Amino acid sequence: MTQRRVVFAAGLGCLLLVAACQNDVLNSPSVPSYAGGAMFQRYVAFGNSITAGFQSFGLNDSLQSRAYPVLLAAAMRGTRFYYPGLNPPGCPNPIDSIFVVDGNPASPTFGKPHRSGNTFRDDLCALRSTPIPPYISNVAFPGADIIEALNTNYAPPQPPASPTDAYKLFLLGGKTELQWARQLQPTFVTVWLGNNDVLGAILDTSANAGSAADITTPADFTTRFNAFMDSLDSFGTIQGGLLLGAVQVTGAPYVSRGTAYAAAAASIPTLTVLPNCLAFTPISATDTAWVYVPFHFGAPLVARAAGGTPTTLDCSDPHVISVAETINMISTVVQYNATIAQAAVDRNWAYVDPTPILRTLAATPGAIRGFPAFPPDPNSGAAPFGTAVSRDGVHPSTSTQRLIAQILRDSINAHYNAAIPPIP
Amino acid sequence: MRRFLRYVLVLFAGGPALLGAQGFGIYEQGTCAMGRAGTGVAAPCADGSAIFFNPAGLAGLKGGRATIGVTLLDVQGGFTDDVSRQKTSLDDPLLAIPQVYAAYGVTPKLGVGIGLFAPYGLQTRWPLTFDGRFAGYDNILRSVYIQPTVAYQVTPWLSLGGGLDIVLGKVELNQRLDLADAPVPTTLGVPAGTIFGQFGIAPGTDFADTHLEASKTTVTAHWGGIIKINDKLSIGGRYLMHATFDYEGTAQFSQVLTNLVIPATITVGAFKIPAGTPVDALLAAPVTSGGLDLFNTVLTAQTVTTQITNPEQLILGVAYQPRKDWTLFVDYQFTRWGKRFATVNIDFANPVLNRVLHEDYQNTNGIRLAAEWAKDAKWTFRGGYLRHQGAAPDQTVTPLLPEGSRNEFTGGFTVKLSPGFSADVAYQYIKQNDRRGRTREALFNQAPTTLLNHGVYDFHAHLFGVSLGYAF
Repeated sequence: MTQRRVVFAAGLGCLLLVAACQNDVLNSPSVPSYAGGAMFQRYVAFGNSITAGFQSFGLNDSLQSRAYPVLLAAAMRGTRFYYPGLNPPGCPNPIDSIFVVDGNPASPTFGKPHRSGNTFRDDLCALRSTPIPPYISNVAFPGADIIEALNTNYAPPQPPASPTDAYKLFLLGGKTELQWARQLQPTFVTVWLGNNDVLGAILDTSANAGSAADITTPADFTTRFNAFMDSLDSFGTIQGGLLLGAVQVTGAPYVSRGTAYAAAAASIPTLTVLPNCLAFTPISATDTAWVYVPFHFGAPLVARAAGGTPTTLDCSDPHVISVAETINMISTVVQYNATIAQAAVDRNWAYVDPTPILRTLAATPGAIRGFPAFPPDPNSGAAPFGTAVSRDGVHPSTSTQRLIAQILRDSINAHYNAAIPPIP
Repeated sequence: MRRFLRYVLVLFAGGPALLGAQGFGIYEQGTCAMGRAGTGVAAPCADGSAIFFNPAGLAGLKGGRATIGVTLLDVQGGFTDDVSRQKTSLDDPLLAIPQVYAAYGVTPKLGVGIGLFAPYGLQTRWPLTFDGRFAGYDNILRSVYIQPTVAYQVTPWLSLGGGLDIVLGKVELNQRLDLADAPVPTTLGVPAGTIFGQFGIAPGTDFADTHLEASKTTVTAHWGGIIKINDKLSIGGRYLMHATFDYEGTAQFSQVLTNLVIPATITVGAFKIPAGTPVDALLAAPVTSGGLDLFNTVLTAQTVTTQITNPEQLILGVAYQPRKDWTLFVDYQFTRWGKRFATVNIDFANPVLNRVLHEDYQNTNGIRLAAEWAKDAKWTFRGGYLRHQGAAPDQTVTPLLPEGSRNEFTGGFTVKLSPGFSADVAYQYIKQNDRRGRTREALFNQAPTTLLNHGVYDFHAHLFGVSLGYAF
């Protein structure tokens, strides 16, 4: 009798124990199953306009979804990768033709290129799409330079006000990239900063193009970038990362060598290009510093000349980037990249220099098309700056975003001996 | 006596926590019964707690019983976010639930008594860093039942009892408001339904604190019966009727600073917001100063009403004495959540603020098993186990009540200290199955789905009960 009771009690006890341990199936997100996948569980992309997916001086959900971090995250298969989606047609609507400009002198958009949604306005914003994601993985915003990525709550020093400042609100809601990222506790990051610390020199529409005043000094960049990296270190969750060097912005087709205008002058009798536009200085066995004419300055001159009005391009004009200014920009980017590469070495992170990518594209027929191009290309309306560059002459096209994602995936796999699947 | 009663009510008011039975039910209403895993509807403890566990148990009482006790609750649990893997723990302090029962056998057949108990209630307190603060960071729902009870032994084998319950109900909800989810006033020229989140405001941007508080007294009833099949076997049942509270109270709002600054001049319809404008000033400043004046127009102190119903409980059980010193108990409990806790409408004087909580609770079943060994005239030992389902469906596991099915283990003893005094001690361990849940309500009062779930709630608790009884 006693034995039966003991057996009964033991059986009951086991039953209760089993019942007690029967938890629900919880279905929490799993770690990516490929080799090295644990590192890519939570990926955050820091950066600026390129990282955000900006193209043709516009941004919308369609472009954001084609940005390299989104493609890379899809391959990584980690936790859901959110970006701050913007409703169509955009914020602002992307340019759909640089050759169709508002010709009405009385219009507030006089001289501005045509944008999707049949408008010339560049101050429209269709606001964020809903539902608002609970966190953001692509924390990049157009216009971000190193200090804006670093500073919290917009404390001084701050760069001058810029039209892209609106993205600090529409994409990041007044928080910084670091603040958003910390919320997600990333396990892997990519950082592509530095482009905007020098890009302002070629986009400067004042009589100051190429000016050193538009460029963050290498010393300041080093201090700020290292502080940014220290902030990342303080997260305590990042297992690895990839840093991208800054782009040599003089390689963007938004600026054209003076020689390109001289060549165009052969086809436009009313266009005169002074010899000072042919100036150059070799700076290495493979690199040469040229005079560069920004699109916003050169294109109206070409248009006027093509319209029959005699026009002269004088490259001593302060709207033109001189050889000395070009050398300063190239040298500055080289120093930025030394800082960035060293930060990668210090952490045993991967590093990718975008310069070879740009060179490869430049050597690919039709990939990067300078302005003005003669004879005119019938496809130039769709890709006026080449298939690798969007209609703003600065930002990568969708195909280049994909190329970047592939290169980054290959670099990460090689550096970390990981097996991130191909970009889908 | 009135002062004592007031004191007891105050104690009860601080008591209920996230524990006990299904939904926001609480079953730890006596130390002796707690050691029995809450069983005893067929043979309640002789400490007067029959007023709750089966009013019929007062019939046949010899003399009087008075019991005062307390149950200490050490509640632990939290929410682990799927993505960040960060866990936020409940902030509940060590809580004490008192119990008071007094019963008297007027005749060998007639027993009377009065008891205070709280069969429904909850308190969930979360830190203000928790994302669930927008659903509620300090939530209290309490129902104190005062039940005068009478029981009569109709025949030697049948006893019936019942009581009228005067139920003091109170509900309190403290929550933060998230600017990202807040609608932008259409006076700015934006389409209806546009939220600040569409301007980039990050989810989790507190801009206001809300305090809702309401109370109501209502009346319900409770009755039970015990059939004594023979000296060894008895069966019992009780039925606690539902209690509906039509709460009316006040809602108060206060501003919480976001410390955000508009980083660039933006144009919203005809409204231009200059760069550098503090968001807090934009929200609070008068319209004439370019603000939205929210705290003098929409988010003002106002009346709030809601209706909450404590559901019916039906408990059936058996008590069997295989030996004179051993008693075995099995109880089954049904709680009718399905009909009583489907939707909670929180209606404000300003209907713009109206909220609908889609709870969609399901009826629940629970089973309780226990054994009791009367070692001698001085010592009685007991232990038990209970399991019950969760009332909340998968889409309604929220910071307000992240409950689920539970397994609970109990043990305890009674020791006679003197011919008149006895003491009870009990321990209970509650292990709730981990459960997926969410921290937010769906936008615009929409019905939630499990797609909103983004983490796992875990919960367990240690309960210690002690009481002192006096027989006179």
